Amino acid sequence: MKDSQRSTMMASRRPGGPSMGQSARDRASFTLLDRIYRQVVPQLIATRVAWLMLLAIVLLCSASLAAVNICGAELLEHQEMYILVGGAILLVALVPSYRKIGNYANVFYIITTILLAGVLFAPAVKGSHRWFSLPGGLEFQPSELAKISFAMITARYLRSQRDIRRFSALLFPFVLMIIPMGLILVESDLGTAALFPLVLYAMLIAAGARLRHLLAIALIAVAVAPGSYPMLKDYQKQRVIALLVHQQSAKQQLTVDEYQIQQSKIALGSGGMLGEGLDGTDQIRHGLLPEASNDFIFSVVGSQWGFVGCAAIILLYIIFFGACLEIAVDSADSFGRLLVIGLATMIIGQAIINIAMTVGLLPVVGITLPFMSYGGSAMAADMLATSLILNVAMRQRSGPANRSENR
Amino acid sequence: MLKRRLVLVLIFSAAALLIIGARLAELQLAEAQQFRNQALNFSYRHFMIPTVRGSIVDCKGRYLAVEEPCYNLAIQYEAMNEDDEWITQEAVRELKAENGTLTRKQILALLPQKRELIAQELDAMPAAIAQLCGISVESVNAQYDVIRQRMQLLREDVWTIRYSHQGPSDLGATADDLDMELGVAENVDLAPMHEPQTIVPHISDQVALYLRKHGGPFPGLVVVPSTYRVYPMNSVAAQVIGSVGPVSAKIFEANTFELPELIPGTLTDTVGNLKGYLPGDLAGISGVELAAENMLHGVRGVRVVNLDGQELPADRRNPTPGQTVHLTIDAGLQSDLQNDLLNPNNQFLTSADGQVHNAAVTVLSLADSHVLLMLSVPTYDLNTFHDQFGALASDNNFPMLNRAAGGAFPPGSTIKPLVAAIATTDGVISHDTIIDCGPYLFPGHPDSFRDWTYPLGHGAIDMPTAIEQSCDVYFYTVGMRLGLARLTDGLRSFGLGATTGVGLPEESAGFLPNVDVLENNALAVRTDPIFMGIGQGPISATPLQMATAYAALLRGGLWIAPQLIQGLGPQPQRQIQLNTDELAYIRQGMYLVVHGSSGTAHALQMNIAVAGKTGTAQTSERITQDGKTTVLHANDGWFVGYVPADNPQYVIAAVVEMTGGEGGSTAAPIVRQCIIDMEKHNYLPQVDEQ
Repeated sequence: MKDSQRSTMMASRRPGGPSMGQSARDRASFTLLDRIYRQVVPQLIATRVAWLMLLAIVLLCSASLAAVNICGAELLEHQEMYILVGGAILLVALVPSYRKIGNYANVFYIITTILLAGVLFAPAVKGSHRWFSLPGGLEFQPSELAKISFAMITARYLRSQRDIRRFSALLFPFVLMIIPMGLILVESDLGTAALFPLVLYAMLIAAGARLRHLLAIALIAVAVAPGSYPMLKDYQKQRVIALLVHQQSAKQQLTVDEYQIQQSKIALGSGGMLGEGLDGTDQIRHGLLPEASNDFIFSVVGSQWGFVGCAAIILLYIIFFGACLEIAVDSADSFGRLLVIGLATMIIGQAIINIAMTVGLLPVVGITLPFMSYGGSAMAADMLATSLILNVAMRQRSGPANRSENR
Repeated sequence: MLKRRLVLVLIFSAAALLIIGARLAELQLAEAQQFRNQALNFSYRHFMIPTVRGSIVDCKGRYLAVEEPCYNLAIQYEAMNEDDEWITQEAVRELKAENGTLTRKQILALLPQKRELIAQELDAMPAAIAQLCGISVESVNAQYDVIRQRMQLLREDVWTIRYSHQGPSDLGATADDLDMELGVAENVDLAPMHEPQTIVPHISDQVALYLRKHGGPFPGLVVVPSTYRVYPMNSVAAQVIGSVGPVSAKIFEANTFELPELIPGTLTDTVGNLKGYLPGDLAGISGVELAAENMLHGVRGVRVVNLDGQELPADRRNPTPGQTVHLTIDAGLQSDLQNDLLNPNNQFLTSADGQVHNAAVTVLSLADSHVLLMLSVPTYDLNTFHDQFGALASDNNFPMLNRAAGGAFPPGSTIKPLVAAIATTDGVISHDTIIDCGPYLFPGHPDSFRDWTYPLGHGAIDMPTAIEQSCDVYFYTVGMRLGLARLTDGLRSFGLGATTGVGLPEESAGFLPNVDVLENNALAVRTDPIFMGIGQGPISATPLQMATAYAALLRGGLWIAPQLIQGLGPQPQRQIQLNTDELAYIRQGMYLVVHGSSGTAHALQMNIAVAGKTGTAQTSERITQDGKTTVLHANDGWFVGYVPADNPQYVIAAVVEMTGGEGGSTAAPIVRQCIIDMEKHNYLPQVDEQ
């Protein structure tokens, strides 16, 4: 009770605050750490639901390190660094209020859209135009940021929309979605593009749009979808075929995708009930599973900890998602609520698509497993999204005591 | 309201996760064992243990072909290409080997210098190899190129196969890069690209030892134990033994090696065809090496190693070396006779101008039809065969031809005893049938069907005398009386016109006319049997066929297929229906050929009684040399006979190709020399000079 009161007090003081003097501005640069220490950490500790989320993230990251380690010891150091940097991003992004950040949603959206367009002209990495090569061998994937800025601008728009139950009001969010999603499709990153409608739908449902409208749009999309098959790239068609024919073609020569799915299933299946332990199976250690540390890290976990471990990972995502929904329910501010739902859906959606892909339920689309896959861009984006969710949780105007009034 | 909506979102997510959970349960609980097996299959590798090819020995146990151990000089493929990553690994390895206590940082500090050194050593490698092995730098560089080209072809093949299975993007290429990719197949990484490649086969032991001791300045150079085939008797029976080379498509396809499906502990049940071939294996390509390939080719071994490098002893199968193949020939005897024939100073065994004959001799034992000797000259040294192949292939004397089994010649008068046997069995003549033999067959036609004594003639003679004097008109008449069909059938029953089944791949079937085809050709039906009566016209036979036929004649009609390779299979035999009462008179005629006052082979009158029949077949040959084609008319001289005359033990057939002389003067001396050598090797009872 006391904690929540204090956090509310601090939150209300910060944005407006007593007018910032010249001296305060000068000190801003070196008081960042100070502010994290004095404001953010106590507020975070005071937020019960944040504990749950942070616990889930810590466990997921530990599982990630254990899995990355057997894929290649040299990757471990990098991944440790990515997690630390991600943690720092998480803390720093907690300093300004989400409302203040939300004010710049338009700017973020425009910048990320320009970056998405720009990456098409960047040199190809791994045969795709998805990454910017940065000095020092780093790579940056703008679509990771685009997901977040899309959730932010949509939440911003829906907040002010009074009559969302009218069909015409749905038009603009879909336009907002089509632009970055289209650019990502041109990058032929099917997995990331598929996240956008998921995020939008979750937010529209939460915002109160008529279900029959959403259903109608979904049906139209499903009806149109097969028509887009000829527009897929050859290798994407192969992936669809790989999924469909995999069961029959066990003895024939496998394509790369069929091979990937097969190896993934072998890794998972050979884990059995309890798994082979920290060292995983020979198959993983000898690098027979392509992209093991990356998109297929769930299979590595499966080989290490078996069905029990896989179930635990899924449970952690459910805990994470559940905590986010609780934050959304508790939030009195509709921007914060919609932002949390959008970002939480983004993370859980990514997890579902990725895991479904590794168990052979969906075609192979390049999509990472949040908090687990090896890679800096993805880890930073996941941490940033989490930070925004915690930001909302931390700055709820209502404490748990008067929750009932807000329902 | 909001809560209800969020429950909806939650339901969707939960449903998706539930499906995933069910799938996981299926994979990890229900089908776990199946996937474990698959995982094992992926985690283990087969390594083949090479086997040793069997030896070929003669009837006395002398080695004719044997595998000798040797060392090959090989270089790690990455070292050959100065692969950057490999150089780093090698540098780290060397630094650690030099000083085991170096820390990671110290190694990193020393690394650039060491890398530089290794790169320099690799640059100097071709020159170093050339100096070590005493060959030219160019040949080392050429071998480098051969290896690179082979690897590039392999990579392109693999790339094409992979590309045909999926789009370009999965190979790390966009459509734009595709054309470039097709050329270099850069992303294809193959196992042989991380294995040593042979640069110089069969290096001397000193070089091998030196490299083992002083490997330092030669990073990536490896001494690989191997074997190579040695022919201790060099050129003796070279055409019979044949040679080995890369496995031919025919053998390969019939007997490809297939890797067994591998789950540790179950190899016993599922071991693949370990006797099969892999690309690059050696196999017989001619002669006994090919004929007895099944016996000579051993069974490879296999060991199962998991990817950590640990071997599973239970799944090891040791290789079985190839069997030793025993030939029936006596290489010592053959060597002696070959030396006699190739010696230009032997005036009776060479042509008038001292040229060595193109000749073939074969000796068949009467008792079991074993081939005691199968000789063809000129011959060649098997140990240098592959180096000299070009010269051998373009030699107009065809040294690679096994004339004794693979050379078909018109048999000439040597056919006459067989024709006599057929005719007496058929009843068209008997031994006392007198035929008046003028200088030519048809009165008033002196230009056709002449006797070889033209214009003299033989007068009225009986059958043994006709054999003794090799009377052509007598056998023209017999051939005419028999007719084409009966004569051809008779000769076929003696094994002419078909391979004898000795098993050599080069064996010729000779030639006999196809009576059904000639049925409507009146001229052929009338004249062919006349010519064939004296072994000319549409007929040819190999020395081996003639020896086998004579052996059958001497056995009273029991034809036994000759045997060269022991244990290759049973010897087929059959009984030819002959009038056995008349055989004594035929043998009498053949005795008179050597011992009669007007016999044609007086050269064979020696310490032991020999009998047989000479033959001189007029023939012509096209010779192309330096782009000019000339037609050469000459004789193929024959002698087919047996010793001892009264109690035959061996049949000897000899043919001398394309000389001006007659069988009695070219082939008979060779048979005489052969008998002398056989006596020397105790094959015939020693008889004092009479």
